[in-house]
Amino acid sequence: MFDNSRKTLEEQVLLYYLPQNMFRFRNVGTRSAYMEAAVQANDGATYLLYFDLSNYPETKPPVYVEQMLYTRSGEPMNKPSSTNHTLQANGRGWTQICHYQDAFWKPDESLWKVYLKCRMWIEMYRAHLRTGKPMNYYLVEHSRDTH
Amino acid sequence: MNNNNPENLVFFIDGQELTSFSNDCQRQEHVGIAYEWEGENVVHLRFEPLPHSFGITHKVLFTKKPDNATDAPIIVRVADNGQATVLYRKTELSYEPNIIPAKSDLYSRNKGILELNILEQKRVLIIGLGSFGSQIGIELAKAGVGTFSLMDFDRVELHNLARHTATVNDLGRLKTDVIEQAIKGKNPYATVHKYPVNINDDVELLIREVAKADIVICATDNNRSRFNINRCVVSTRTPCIYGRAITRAEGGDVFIYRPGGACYCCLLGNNWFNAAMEEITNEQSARNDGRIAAYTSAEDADAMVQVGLSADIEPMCNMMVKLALTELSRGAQSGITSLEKEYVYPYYMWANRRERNYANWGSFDNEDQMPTIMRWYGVDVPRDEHCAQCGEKVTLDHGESFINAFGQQAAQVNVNTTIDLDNL
Repeated sequence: MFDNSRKTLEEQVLLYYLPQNMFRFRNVGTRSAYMEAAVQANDGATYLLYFDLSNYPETKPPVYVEQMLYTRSGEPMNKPSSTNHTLQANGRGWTQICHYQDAFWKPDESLWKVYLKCRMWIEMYRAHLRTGKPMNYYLVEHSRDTH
Repeated sequence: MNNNNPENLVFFIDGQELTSFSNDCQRQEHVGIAYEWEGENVVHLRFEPLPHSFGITHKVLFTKKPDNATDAPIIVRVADNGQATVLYRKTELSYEPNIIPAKSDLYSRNKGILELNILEQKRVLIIGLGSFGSQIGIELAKAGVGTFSLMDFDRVELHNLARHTATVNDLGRLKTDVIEQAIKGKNPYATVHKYPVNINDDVELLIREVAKADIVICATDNNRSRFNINRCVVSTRTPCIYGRAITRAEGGDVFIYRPGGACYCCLLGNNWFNAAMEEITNEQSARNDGRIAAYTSAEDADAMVQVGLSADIEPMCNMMVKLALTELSRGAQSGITSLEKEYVYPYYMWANRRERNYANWGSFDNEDQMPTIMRWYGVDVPRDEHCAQCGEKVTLDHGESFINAFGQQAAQVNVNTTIDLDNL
């Protein structure tokens, strides 16, 4: 369960990189704990992310964009997609980001690291909207090209 | 033995049930049930129906009265001294029944190897009653462990049968019920507590049960549950044994958490430990807990479900049982005391075949001095003082490796732009 001692550790890391008013924790110490964090892409677009901490840090936190996102061609991003790196949307229709393979999750990962990966995802999403190239191109193939 | 000779009929009565009836002044009669295997000349006489038994059933009257008007085909007369005599109407003969032995005699053959009085007092929590947990539970019952807590929300399915202790007749039943029955079949005196729940949904129950246990057997098939269990065993300082098979059971490993030593989370911090190579035995459960990504197609998922042979998971089950018995007997003088000095490592690895993960292992003749198949190798795992679950100086991953892989710029957050959450 996400308790206050873990919250303190997470805050220490987050505050090293992020202004305090860009994230907030709610319901800490309960099974409905969550974190909200704002993320701004390089083009200025801003999104609000929802980190479900109900079984964090024992499992990776499901992360949602607090809105339904759409692809450049207008398809709702509400289903599992290997092209878009999304998982099933939640009951509110929020797009879920696929940010971590379960087998590699460890409880010493930080919310900051998850935030970073989600921020990368947002950046690639914005690039997809600009260029029409599939997100997978940026998330896997482009990164392979540059290394 | 002449199976057709009625004098060769053999009757069994549960000694515990018989004594209880004999000592109960309020009861003069009791109608029970008999299970007869005709071709084998064997009849079991029970006070209560068994949940799943086979053979021909008859009514049986247990009575303390000298004469009874009854239509029961079998009568068991119980004398004041507890002695029982069986009258079987079909043969019109009387028989002296065999008594299913008392607790002290049941595992007398283990004496000298295991300290039975100690094991009888021990409580083992088994989480996950699949092909690992089911076998381990029964083995520990055979060794004389007195109390079990069983946790698994799952039911027996057809694909389980190749490796599970359950039979075709158990299909659809809760695994907790099936294994309780199997344990009691081996040790009728064992106490079994059953929890057909998903521990990930009831961590409070999990920690309560862990706190009561002398040792925990973690036989689940995913890291989510293992981390939940690990957190509980670390906080309650309860020893815990984890086991798993690698893809297609080409090998496997066993890890034991001893209080004060490395925990399961410390183990995963070691680069040589391959968490991703785990065997996937059930597509649906693997999808539910994320081992198969949600977007994986049915065809690809089908290819990922690769179950190994029952014989290939036996070494891991066997090791887990022996580690458990050694830990439960620790400090007592028994025939396995010497194992305390042998099982000093927290991590043990085993290979069944030189494939994939073990492709570079040596041949069985060990000429090249490499690890070979069919041998256990113990590995020391240091405790990580920065471990997120057992460390005293917990350090979280800041994502340095991620930043290094993608470049500083990619991960840079524009901190000059202040976004107020309340204004979004």
